[in-house]
Order: sequence, then structure tokens, then C-alpha cells
Amino acid sequence: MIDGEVGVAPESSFATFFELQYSAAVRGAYLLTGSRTAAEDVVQDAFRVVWERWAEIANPVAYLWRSLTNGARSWGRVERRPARLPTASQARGGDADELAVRSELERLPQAQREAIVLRYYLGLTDPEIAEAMGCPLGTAKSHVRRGLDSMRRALQ
Amino acid sequence: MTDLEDRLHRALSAIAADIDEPADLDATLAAITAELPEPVDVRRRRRRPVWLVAAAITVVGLGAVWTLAYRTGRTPDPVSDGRRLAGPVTKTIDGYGSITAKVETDGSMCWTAPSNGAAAYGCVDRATYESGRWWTTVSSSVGTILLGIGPVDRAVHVEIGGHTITADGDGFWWTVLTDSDTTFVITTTAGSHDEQLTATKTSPTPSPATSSPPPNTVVPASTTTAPSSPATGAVAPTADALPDGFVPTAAFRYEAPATDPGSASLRTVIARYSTDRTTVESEISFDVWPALSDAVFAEQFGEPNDTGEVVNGAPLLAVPSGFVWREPSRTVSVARTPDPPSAAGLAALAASTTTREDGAVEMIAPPDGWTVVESGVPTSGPSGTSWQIIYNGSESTDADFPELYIRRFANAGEPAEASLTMLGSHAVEVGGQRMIVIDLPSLRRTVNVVWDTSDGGRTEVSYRPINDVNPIDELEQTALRVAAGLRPVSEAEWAAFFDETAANAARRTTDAWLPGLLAANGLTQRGEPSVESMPALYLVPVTRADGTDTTCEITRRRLIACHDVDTVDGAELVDAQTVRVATTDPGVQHVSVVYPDQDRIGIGLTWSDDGVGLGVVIIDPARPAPDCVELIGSKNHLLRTIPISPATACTLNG
Repeated sequence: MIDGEVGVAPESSFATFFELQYSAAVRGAYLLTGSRTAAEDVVQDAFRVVWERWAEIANPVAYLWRSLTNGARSWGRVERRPARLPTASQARGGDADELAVRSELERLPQAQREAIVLRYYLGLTDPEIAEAMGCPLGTAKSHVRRGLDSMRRALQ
Repeated sequence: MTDLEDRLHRALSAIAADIDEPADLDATLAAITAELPEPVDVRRRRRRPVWLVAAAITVVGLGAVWTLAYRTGRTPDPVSDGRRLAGPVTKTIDGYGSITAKVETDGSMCWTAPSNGAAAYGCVDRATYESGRWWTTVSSSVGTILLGIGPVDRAVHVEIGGHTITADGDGFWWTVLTDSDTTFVITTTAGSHDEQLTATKTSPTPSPATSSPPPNTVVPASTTTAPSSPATGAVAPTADALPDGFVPTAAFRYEAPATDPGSASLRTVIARYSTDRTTVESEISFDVWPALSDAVFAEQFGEPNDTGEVVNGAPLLAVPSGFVWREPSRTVSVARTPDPPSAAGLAALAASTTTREDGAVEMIAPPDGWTVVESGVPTSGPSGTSWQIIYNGSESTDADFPELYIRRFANAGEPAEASLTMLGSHAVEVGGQRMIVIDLPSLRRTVNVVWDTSDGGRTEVSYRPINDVNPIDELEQTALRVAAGLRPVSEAEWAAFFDETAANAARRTTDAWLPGLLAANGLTQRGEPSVESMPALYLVPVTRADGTDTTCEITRRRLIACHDVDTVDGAELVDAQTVRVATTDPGVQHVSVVYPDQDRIGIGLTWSDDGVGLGVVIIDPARPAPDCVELIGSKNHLLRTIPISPATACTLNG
């Protein structure tokens, strides 16, 4: 167990933080980018930013998601659009819900896609989503709701 | 967490499972930390253990348990001392849905329930749960449901409206409240000792009047709902305020915890469908909130700009998602989907493209402000080489941007003309070139134009408009008109309105083309079709010319087969493009048609009234025909593999 009291070496606490968060972060980034390679790149960049500021930030988890979301957004915008998930046939068989969510996730506006992944995959709360997305709380809630409305119809 | 959210969570988790567990974390960590100098300052203040920080952001009701379970690789076991629920318990109430309750590791109890299409969550702390003397209400289309869950070792009786409800073996009790049910008494018995809680449901906000001990309901931020009365502030648009072509298509009630009143709202959605009702042309949603305080309003909407217009006596303020105004008793926000792109305009745009030397297709002259963000590096896939160029529009915001894709495929595969068989497709002619327009029936409407080229390839142009820029325009004037016509409704009217929206939404995929197709095949429709799966498979009750009845299967506007009663499991190659699968196994969730090279096409099933699950898969005639079908159950469990007739065995099994 890590305790951040005086004298704990930063690299050891970061290592534990990394170990706990890496897998979820890569998978979350994959849902945002649709690319394993991009997800790993984005996550490594995000952890790098966290490590760089490890001594300063109060909430490394929130900071990680913020960096990760920004990274995925930048990746999608500048480098290799679009954020397309492999189809089920490309990946493997998937159930009907999975097929529908793959398809709808791709269609969602980026902000709603981020909100849906942050809420329903990573389990963040509304304030945490707002922090991760860098937007007002009301906007984050709106993105979650509108994304969920779309998913509701896709899963009908 | 509602069933929808549960399904969404599971689907996202399944998709995320495309990524394997990382193999060598140490190397990755070393790569990250080696590139930067070590932070020099160890935080000098006491803080919570990191694992607690990680958990704290996820331990929020039932959904959090799943998230935490994912992260730690196990599901936290609830405390089980013989008095509490040993695990999640789900109760189904006819006509309403399922309520799930679970004891958390700290002994608190959380429940989740559907509430008019939205989520309702609640938690009570350990002491309250174990007392058995607490209650909450959930509003739904069947009325207001009063419920409670107590420890299993304590008999719980609730007296209400002259009758007594007894908790079941899991400690769960519930009833549908009537208007006269305002006071009830919850009695718990442990041994020979009785304790009572007398509670009163008042309108509009029920507030338990308690005897000892107080219910002490815990309301964690963002995850629970306070008890709320039905129809509080519910509104619906008046019919004469609806513009031509708009119909209500959805109604949601978003519950809110007492600690977060700004998150409560009632949402009404109206939409206008395309002529054949296959596509949402315009959609407007209204959120009606309680009159928000300045602080909550600022939190929700930031600092909106005054448009100079007035609605219902209040200034109309522009916000990123649309606009909002504040009346004395309520705050109303309006959002809309973007204007639909013009298919003809897109086709004209598509016609102004040229093929580069490297094979990619690009616009000769992109519109002003459009920039290339991906420039057509060729990639190889099952259908050969393809090139893609992507443009972003000038309207980009931090949240969204319009996108235009131009893709060229070296091999056309299935003719573009075949797209006409899909719902919502039609053809246009631009400069002598016949192009197939595909309107995807998605809420974020995407228009695709596809055409085959003389060299055996295909070009596809797709346009996705920006979603988060909402200038004050004609459509929003329409929204204002409707908003001004919102009227308060009772709970019964709200329920009726809810049903009406569901019916309207269900009818969006019209069968207007169906009678013509049936007539061309000598058939007459005699009942409503069942439409399920993706892509849609219609099961249509029909009468043949000789007067006999049967049921026909239709997909992508093609008549696949007509059968009186099909009770035989199997899969058959109907023609070079079509595989049909039938199963009577109710455990089958979906099927995958498997090509010899192991590539798969997965689809859901449409279930007939006879209990037969049917699926029709459109296959690529240019590839070796698939010879196997996998029948897959829940949790992606492979139930069995069957050959596709005329094959007699699956290569998978060899």
C-alpha cells in the first residue's frame, strides 16, 4: 500500500499508480481512438505528463484522465482520423449490444463519445468528467445525457 | 444503474477487451520515467493512499462496483453475515421493470431502478438498511412505486391504504401508490421487539415524517436520487405548437439527488423524419429544470450570451449546446441537432473530385476553410487497396467539427447499386454520373454518396456535420415556438405522453415501401411487421394470392423467404449474397457467419411469435462462400457451430 507521507519516494508511488491505472487507461483510450497503437501512444504520453508533474498535482487520477482525453482528442484531430473501432467481424464475434455500441460510439460527436467512455467505462462522476474534458459541469452532464440518449436508441 | 446503462457498460467493456492485458508494464514504466528527470519534490502533505484515490472516483453505487472490479480483477464481496443480501438481488415488477439491490462492502445498500427511461439510484447507509425502516419512491409509466429493502432476519410489514405488504425473503417490499396513499407505517420485528416508522408521502416532494430512528438516507453526490413525486413540473408540448412534420419522439425524467438539484430535469424530444420516416431530419430537445439558483445556473451553463430575444418574458441566452432562458418558476434549455446536409449538394461536391497519381481521390477545390487532416496513405484490406482523405470544416470547436471523408476502394465488391436496397437509400444523377445516396438513420445524421468507377473500383464520400454549433436560425425559432407551447401535465398525461413518444419513435422506420414490394410478389400484408436486428429483418404476416396465409422475411427491401412455420434449426445459402439462419434455441443471443478464412459477420436475430430466431446476413459474393454459422449465447459464449447448407460440415470443425 502506498501512503504519501513524508519520505515516500516519488518513483515508488508513481509506479503503483501506473500499475493500477495503466490497463484501464489503455482500454479507455482505445475506446476513444479506435486504435491500439494510438491508445498506447496517448496513454504513455499522458502518464509522462503525470510523471513530469507528479510532485505538484493533487489528484493524479483526474490529471491522468484529463491528459488522456486531450491526447486522444489531439490524436484524432491532427494525425490519423477517424476514431474508428474495428468492426466486430474484424475483431471477433460480438453480441448485438456490442455491435450496436461499436457502431454508435463511432457516430457520436467526439465530446459525447468521451463522456460516455468516461462515465460508463471508466466510471467517473459528472464533476470528474467535467474536469477530464475541461468543460463546465453542465456541459459535461449534457454530453453524458445526449450520448446516453443516442445509445438508448441504438440499443433499443 | 439502469438496464440500459448496464448493457452499455458491458458492451464497452467487451469492446475494450479487444486490448489484451499489458504484457510488460515494467518496461513501459521504465520508458516513461527514463525520459524525464525525476520529480524533485516529494509531496510533503499527508494524502490518501493512491489506491484509495483510484477507488474513490469509482465507488459510486452499483456501477462503481463493476468499474472497481474491472480495475482490481475481482468483484468485491458483499459482507455476508446471514442478515444481509448475499449478492445482488433483482426484482421484476410486471409492467415496470427490474429493481436491483446490493449490499456494498461497507454494509450500505444501494439500489437501482428504471424511472421513465432514465436512471434512478439510491443508497442507504448500513444502519438505515439494517433498521429496515426506510422507503423511497420511483416514478414510472405505471405510477409511483413505493419500495424498501430490509435485512433478511427482520420481518418487515408496511401498512398502507388499508392493506399490509410483507417483505419477501430478500427483505424487499413494494407497492404502486394511489393518489389516496399518503400515509403508511413500516413495522419491523426482530424477535419480539417491534419498531415502527410512520411516513407520509406529500405532494409535490415526499418527505418522510419519522418516528425514531430517523431514516437518515444517504445521498452520495452524483449517484443517487432523492425521493421525488410524479409529474413535478412535467410539461408536454401542445399539439398546435408543433410545426408541421414534428412529432414528440422521446420523454425522459432525470432524477436528481437533493445535493445536486441542478441535475434534475424533464426532457422532451421532438423530431421531424424524412418523407419515408427512415431518417431524422431535425431534432429538438427541451430540458425543463426547476428554477435554478444563480450558482447552479452558472455551474450548468457558464456565462451565456444574451441574444437580445425574449421568450415567455425572459431573455433568451445562447449556450454552446443551444440556448436557455430563466422563467420565475423554471429554467428551460433547448438543444437541437444540426441542419441536415444536402444530399444533392454532397453529390455535387463528390463530382468535383479528381483521382491523384497515387490512386487517392481528393477534392479539386475544398470549400473555404476546409483543411486536409489525413491525406490518403494506401492501406490494404480484405477488399484490396483503399485510400482515404479526410477534411475538417472551418466550424471546428473544442468539442466537435464537421468532417468529410473521401474513400476510394480499388475493388468495388458488391455494386454500389446494391446500396439502394438499404433503408433510406436513393439515387441522384450529377454530371451524368449515377450516385447512390445513403442516409444513415442515426441521430447524428451522416450522408454518404457512393458510386462505382469504370476501373472496377468504388468511391465513397461521407459527410458528418458539426453537432455542437447552434446559431439562432429558423430551426431554433421553431424550437422557441414549441417551447412557448409547453404546458404542465399531470402524471397520467405524462405517462400517456411517454407512450405516445415511444410509439412515434418506433414508427420512424416506416414500411411505406412494403406494400409495393409485397404486391410485386403477389402478396398482401395482413398485419404489422416485426422489425428487429441490425440490419433490420422484417417478419411480415401476408396473404398469398390463393388466399393462404404465411409470414415473409424481408431485409434491405428484398424478399428472402416465406415460411408458414419454421421450426427447424439451420442455416442456408439462399443465394450468392444471402445467408439465412433460423434457430429455436432461446439462448442464442446472436449469430456469426464465418467465411473459410475465419472472418466473421455478426448479427442479431429477429424473433417470431412462434419463438423462432431469424437472421439474414448479406455476404460478399466475390469471396468464397461462408460455410459455418456460430450460434452465440450470453457473454459471447459459443453455443455450437452449424454448417451452412449446402455444406455438410464446417471447416471450423476440421
